[in-house]
Amino acid sequence: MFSLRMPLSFDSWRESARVLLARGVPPEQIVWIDSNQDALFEDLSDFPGQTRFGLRISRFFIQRARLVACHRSDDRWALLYRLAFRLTHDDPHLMQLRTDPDVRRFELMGASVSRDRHKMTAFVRFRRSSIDGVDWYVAWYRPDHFVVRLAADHFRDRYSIMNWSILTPDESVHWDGQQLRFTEGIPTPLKTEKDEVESLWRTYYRSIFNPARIKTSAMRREMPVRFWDHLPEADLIHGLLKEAPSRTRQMIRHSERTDL
Amino acid sequence: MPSVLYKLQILADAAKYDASCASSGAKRSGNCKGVGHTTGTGICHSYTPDGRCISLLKILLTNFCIYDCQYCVNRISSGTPRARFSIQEVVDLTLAFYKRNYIEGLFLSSGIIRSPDYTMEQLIGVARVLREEHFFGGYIHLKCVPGASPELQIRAGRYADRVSTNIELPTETDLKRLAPQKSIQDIHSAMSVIRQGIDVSQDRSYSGKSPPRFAPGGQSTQMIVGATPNSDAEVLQTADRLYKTYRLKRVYYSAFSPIPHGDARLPLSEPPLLREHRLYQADWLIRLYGFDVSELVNASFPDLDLRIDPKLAWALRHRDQFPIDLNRAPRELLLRVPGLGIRNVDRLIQIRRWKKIRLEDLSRLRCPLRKVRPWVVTADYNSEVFRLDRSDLIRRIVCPQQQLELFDTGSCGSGSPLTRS
Repeated sequence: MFSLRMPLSFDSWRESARVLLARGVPPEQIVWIDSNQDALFEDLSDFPGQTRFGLRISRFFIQRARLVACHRSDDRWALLYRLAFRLTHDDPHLMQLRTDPDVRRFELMGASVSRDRHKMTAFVRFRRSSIDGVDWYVAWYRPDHFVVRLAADHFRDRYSIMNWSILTPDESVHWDGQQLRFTEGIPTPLKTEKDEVESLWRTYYRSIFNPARIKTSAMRREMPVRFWDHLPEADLIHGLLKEAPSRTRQMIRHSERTDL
Repeated sequence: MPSVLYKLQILADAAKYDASCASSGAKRSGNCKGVGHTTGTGICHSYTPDGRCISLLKILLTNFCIYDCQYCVNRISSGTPRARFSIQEVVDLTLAFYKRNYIEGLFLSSGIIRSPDYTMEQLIGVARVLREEHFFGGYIHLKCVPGASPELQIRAGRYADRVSTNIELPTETDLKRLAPQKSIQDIHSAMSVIRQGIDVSQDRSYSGKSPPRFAPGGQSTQMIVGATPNSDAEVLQTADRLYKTYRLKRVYYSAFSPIPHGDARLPLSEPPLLREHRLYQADWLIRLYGFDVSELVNASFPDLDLRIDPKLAWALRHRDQFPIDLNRAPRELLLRVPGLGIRNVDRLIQIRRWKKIRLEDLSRLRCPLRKVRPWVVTADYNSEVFRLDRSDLIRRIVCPQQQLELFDTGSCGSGSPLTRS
């Protein structure tokens, strides 16, 4: 049995997995442990297998595996290795068998990461502040998975002429018009000054809501409550729902008779 | 001078009866001179308690209007408070919201002031300033004013990612009755001008150069449902004609909703949300599942069944075409199985090249087994399929609880209930 300590990144997993696969080390014999230290390989030389060269794995698997590697669950490295082992030693068509439990889990984990990345591009809310007389747009956000690096390019392309920072508990990303920088995470929201545009946004949110149509389950599914605390509009929801029935009744009562 | 906040309140409120909020279909990479890019798939930045998404800043330039369309809160005879934004105010609001990541872009419409041409010029003015002075790369959806000159509609398409002209009501008679100043010819010719603009922009046959961009997100329209006593057959036939003639990206169905200062000649009731939901389902079946309108609604069944989804309703009427063998049937037949969506159909086709499909595969794909089982043959024993001829089949498939949930299924303007099933 090997305990493998390795840094939290897909590339370091890939490096280790390449060696282990070539040696034919079966998945049951490895315990993957996230660690900030370098990968430890001392034990490996003791493994009695033959080294195989030229192992190939599908590009599709590698692409999706990069996403799955950003999932927050502890067993992601083990799952990736198990699939890689089965693909190289057992069944090269495995990824087509989408109801296989490992493949299914791989697919679902990839889908939640990609959804989480998408939600980050949707729910980050910048506040404008001024740093040394220069406008800087700052947001604090809490993603479900490790998606900051996956989403960074999106914000860079979109806001290339602005200075901005997105702070999250895991890691933060900054753009100064020149390059992306990643720094350590910030566990809780910063106390920033209110941005005056927020009151316009809240007015818009209130006005675009139609009280005659209530479908809160759709809203909660697409905008889960755990994201609400950093959305400046979310604390309006309760009040809007409360007054909706009376507003609708009033609209029906106050229709205007025009002559035919 | 009224504040921007006051105007925003009025002009957003006035815009909320337009269902579309899609920001998809157009891809534009970021430029180094202004903010904004579009990814092609659209992003919903927030959701309101009506289950609709906020993707775009959806406002009217003004709600002053010289028309008197009865279903509209902004008709000239309504007592609603009025406001008008300046072009610069809309530009500033759009950029301020966009920079804070509240929105994907702007959906701008307007009441008709002075003339259709004047109104259209104002709308184009906003898009021009955003694109040419601020190099704005976000999404712009402009409403086309029927009756405006073709040159102006073409200019709108140059700046916009999507343009739309509302068909408003299912039949010409309805339009004549409720919106006497609008003409069906104007609406159709606007759609046709946009169609040609899009066709030209996609044509690469003359020179190697690509022609200038023109509404890459396509055109859409909206039909109000429930303001007039039309059948679902009339609604869907109109939609189908528009899809075929102008190759619209989407037809939005908007359940007629009571409006402040509503006209007393119109139905005063809760909007028919369930009917709207069924129409969207039928629309999806027609566009993506290979159904013909007449299979879903026709002279014998002019309206969709509100209790069950239109695919299940069709299957119950055509039990002789079932069961379908999941291991052999072609894609177009698999698409007809109640409970199987496009994505799962494609997964099944992929899986069956390598192994036999069994019931457990369906549950692993999270297909609604209760709904699918009576209609299919799998490699293992499926007892439900023997109940296909029973008269109580529908009760075995749909329980009352499920019907309630269906009612609460959200349909954000750009998504559909069926994509999630």
